[in-house]
Amino acid sequence: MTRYIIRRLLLAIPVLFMVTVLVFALIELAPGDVVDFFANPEVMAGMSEADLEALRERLGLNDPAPVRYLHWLGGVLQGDFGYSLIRSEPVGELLLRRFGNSMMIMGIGLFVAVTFGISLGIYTALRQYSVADFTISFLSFVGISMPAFIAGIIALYIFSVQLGWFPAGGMRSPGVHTLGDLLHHLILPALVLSIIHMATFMRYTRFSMLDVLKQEYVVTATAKGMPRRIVVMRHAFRNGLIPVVTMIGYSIPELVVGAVFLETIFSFPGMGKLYFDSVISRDFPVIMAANLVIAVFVLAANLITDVAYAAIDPRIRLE
Amino acid sequence: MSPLHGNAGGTALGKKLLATTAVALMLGLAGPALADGSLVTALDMGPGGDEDARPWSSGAGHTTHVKQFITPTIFNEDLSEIVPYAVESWESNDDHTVWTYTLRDGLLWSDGTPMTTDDWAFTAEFMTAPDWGGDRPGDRNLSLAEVAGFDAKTAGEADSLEGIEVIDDRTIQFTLSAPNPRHFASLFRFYILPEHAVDFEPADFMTTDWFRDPSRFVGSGPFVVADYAPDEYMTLAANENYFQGRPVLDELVIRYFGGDQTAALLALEADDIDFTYVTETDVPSLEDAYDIFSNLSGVVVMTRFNYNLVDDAFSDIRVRQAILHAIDRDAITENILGGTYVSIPCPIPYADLWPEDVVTYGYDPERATALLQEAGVDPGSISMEWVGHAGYDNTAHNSALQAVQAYLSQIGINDFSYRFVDIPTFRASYSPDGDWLNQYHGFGVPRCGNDVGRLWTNAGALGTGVTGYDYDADGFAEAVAAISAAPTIDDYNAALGDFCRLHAEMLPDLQMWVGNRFGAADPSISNFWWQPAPAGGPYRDNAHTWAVQ
Repeated sequence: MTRYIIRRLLLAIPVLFMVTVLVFALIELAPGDVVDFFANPEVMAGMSEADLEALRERLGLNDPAPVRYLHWLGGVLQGDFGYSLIRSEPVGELLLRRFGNSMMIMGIGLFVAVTFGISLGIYTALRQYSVADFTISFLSFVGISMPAFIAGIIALYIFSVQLGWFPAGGMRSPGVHTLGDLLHHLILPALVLSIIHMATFMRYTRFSMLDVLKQEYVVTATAKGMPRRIVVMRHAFRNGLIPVVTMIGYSIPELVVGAVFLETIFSFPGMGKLYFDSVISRDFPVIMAANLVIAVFVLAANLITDVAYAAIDPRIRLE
Repeated sequence: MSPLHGNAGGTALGKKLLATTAVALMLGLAGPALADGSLVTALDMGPGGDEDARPWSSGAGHTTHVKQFITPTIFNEDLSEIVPYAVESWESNDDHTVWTYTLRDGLLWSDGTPMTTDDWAFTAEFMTAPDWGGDRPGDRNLSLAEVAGFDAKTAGEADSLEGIEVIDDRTIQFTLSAPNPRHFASLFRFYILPEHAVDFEPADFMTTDWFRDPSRFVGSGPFVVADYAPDEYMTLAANENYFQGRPVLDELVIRYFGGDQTAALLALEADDIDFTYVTETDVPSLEDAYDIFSNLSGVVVMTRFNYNLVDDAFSDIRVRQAILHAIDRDAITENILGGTYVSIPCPIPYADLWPEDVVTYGYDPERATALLQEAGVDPGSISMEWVGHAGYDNTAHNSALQAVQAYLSQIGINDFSYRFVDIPTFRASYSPDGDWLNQYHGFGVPRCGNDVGRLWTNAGALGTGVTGYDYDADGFAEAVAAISAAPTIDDYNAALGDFCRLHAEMLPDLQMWVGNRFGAADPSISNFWWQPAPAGGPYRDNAHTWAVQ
């Protein structure tokens, strides 16, 4: 197992390198640069083309692309992600703060999605074709079909505007730095994020459980007179969990994507919103670093998923 | 029915989770409220907003900056003139090349230190340092580029700005490199910085925390920085030493929404904030419950031609006239743009400045067809692609351009398309080297603080070099020069009228419409004043009198 993990970690290095090269190339291909973003497109905001060129020179944007890439890479290898060209703060600090914020939403969202999604999947599998099964399945289709930003707007309108239960966006009340206030702001976006994934996990768990429940070893266990709880949880659920674990691993990148829209509509200062803003402003140090972090995050999630297989299914040996 | 039907043990876990969620909810609902004298706003939403909270290097944001710093002059409440603010008077020599300003008596910084003209001169030197690190020099250029010695100082060829001289603590003299009868109108974004408190170098302008650090910040406006959370909010506290008196509000909170108007609107409706910029489509649902603030945006929306690349047909003015005649702009502004826009005959958006004899190009498709025939142009051969930037990529403008498409097809112009792109893409194409054909965009034309030379002179930043049109040959250089040389506001307005007439006559581009902008405020706020600032302001909003009931 340890050798497997080390090998995967070593393989991740060229993958991450290629990700940075590819992203840098894509930024280069996009029209305009961050200086074009600075200039008011309509009146140049009192700036001249000479001002823009001077700014490009100062920011090093006139250097050849390979030089800029190597300069960036050299900095990263020394732990320096550079400065955000738009926000004028070290990218490392910026990412740490934003990634931490996003992790709170994603962590709570994933926890709730997994917990309730799997529970509801088992529940509906055990009550196939019942009213509860049809109702929950219908709601799960709604959850899967609904875009994150629509769900976010609806949730904000109902629970913040109409009922006043939650604040309408933001991460905390101005000047308030308590855990309670933070949770108050986190719950609604995290729940919205979780609902979309909860529906997916529920559907996968249901299908997987229905498949497993028909297996002969489950029928045998039941015939032996084992308590239903033991049959379901020990014999059926553990085997039914394997495809669900795969799905959880794959859903992590989707969580990041979903967070972009949710963070926007909930005005939550997270990684997704930062990434989106950086792309439209061509803030290349942030785009590069954010992609690197997301790539590391996804690779780590995949590795953890693979390791989790082995933990769940003793037949799997990671070599 | 499955033999395994029944409770599988998930219920207990579900109950525990529900209980945990309920506890978390209760914890959250106990969040403390702000002090009674606090006003929570989204002042940086909409055009004119900037969440960077850093004057002198922003595209906009003056609505916030003017809360923290005073400027020598400022727009008055109805935006009709630039008036004294930090200064009490000014005078110039006969040829308007030397201007002398006198600061008000008794001005104090927020830490109690007297403000003097040394601070003013320090700011001028600081902003013109050759290594100044700002990323948007527009406000610096507006305030200082006409001062003698600007080029030498910014290029590092001079140690100081030749044209600035401190006469005494309250008097400062500006010597200009060219006459300007209204130089005071160039100083409305000159945010004077405190020499004794600025502890960073010009090169560190963009990386310093000074502007947002309560322990270091020293200001002169009605409020000072009290708390700042990046990307979340900035809390401003009342400045006890503000020259117009301590503000009524204890705190003014500016919430950041990352530019998302829907999020800000929901926060307003949830009573999380007391004010935000709203769009024209939001107004009908808000006007019963909120005080709506509205005024003309001053931003004219137009379509420009790249005469270097478009079909030669557009060089014939009759073709351009035909296009305007073919489009019922009044119907579009009334029915599609919700009556919040009006069509315009020229780039001057103020109806009271339009000459009576200005050509308006009303809807007349038969005239349009006749003009095309006179020009010998087959409408089927005309091709247009109007490209706008993300600022106009909304339902209203998409619908308006679809209507334009329909109107043009009525006179046989079927090859018409439009699209919106992000700002870097727009800027990259809309440049001297760009490959654009038509650009659909806006241009802020305030009643004073004229800037029309940027677009309608050969030397303008977006003039001939970008469009390929010879403005000087058609008299625009003289018209713009007359505006710049106007000694009084009446002369200035008359010159704008003359410019309007000339533009409508020569029609180098197609002027479409100008819209109103809106803000919605909770009725519990008293003495509040907001309006769409021309090109971001700042204007006198008397924030020291704002109060919450």
